[in-house]
Amino acid sequence: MIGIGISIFNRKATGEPVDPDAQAFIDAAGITDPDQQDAVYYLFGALKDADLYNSLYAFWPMVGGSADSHKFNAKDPQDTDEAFRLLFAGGWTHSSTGAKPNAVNGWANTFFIPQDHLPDDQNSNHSSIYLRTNANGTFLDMVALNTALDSQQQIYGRIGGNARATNHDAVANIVATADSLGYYINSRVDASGFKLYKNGTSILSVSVAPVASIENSFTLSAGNVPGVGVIQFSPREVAFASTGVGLDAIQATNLRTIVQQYQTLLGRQV
Amino acid sequence: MTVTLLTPEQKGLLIWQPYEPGAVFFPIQDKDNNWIISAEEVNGQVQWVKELPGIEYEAKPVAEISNNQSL
Repeated sequence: MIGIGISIFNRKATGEPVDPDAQAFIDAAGITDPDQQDAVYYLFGALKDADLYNSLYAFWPMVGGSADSHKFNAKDPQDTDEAFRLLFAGGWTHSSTGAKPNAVNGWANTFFIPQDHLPDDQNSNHSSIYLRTNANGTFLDMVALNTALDSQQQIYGRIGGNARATNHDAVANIVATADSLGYYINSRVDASGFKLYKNGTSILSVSVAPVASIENSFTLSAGNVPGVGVIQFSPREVAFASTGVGLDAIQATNLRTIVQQYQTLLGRQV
Repeated sequence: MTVTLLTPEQKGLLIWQPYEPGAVFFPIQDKDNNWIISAEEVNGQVQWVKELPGIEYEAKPVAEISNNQSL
């Protein structure tokens, strides 16, 4: 695949240059395990080599084993809402395999608002999440909603036996799926429609125009519904998440390859 | 599943407060509108919540948010 390779910044070793962005993230998140550091160096290097780094406006590598490490946005590892640092609320279990919500009251606010933080959220966007728990139910894994609730960007790993996604619409677009394991990418590259990819393959292609911009932030592992509250808490462990501009099929495939290799380096791939 | 029962006043004290570095309390209501927090939060670094009573958790019915569904 074009662009996927070993960056000169890929590994830190004596005399080798270190990607300053990767190092900043490692330092902020307090990652001291050498294998985790190497995985982070790989992630940053591979994303840049594949010309994907700038398409991800925020991504959360979920590495380090604690809430205080997992919270950081790799693109801007500051401990502020404005830097899209995650706020983990309610019950979560953090470990070397990721961040696992409790399906009771655990969720996270990204503070990333599509309307405010993307150049054209209606016509170019993506959201992605890597799930390590197989569960079937009304568990909302990643979502941003407008206040009118007619424009939503959802990913359900598996609900009623189906993966479900919306992208600036509000129809329950579904496709049968055998489990909720792996990497989901919800991407729209223009007004004609959007695709849901699972593990690098397009499993859902929907022809629908965007309804409206979304003025509320993405949340992980539940939905924060205006006028209702936080609902649909998920039990699925999160090992990576991202948002940014739209990704075409090749980009989505390349991103999946990189994220899967990242998970493999951490010994937590599914 | 056992969760910890709060009074409304305790809920007000805890919501959005840290229970460990990087994570905050988020009390919710169960199907009987009791305020509760989870075991993960109680097992954090705030000591006084560990003394509160436990109850069996029963969730509120799940609302739908997609079109052609009820909310």
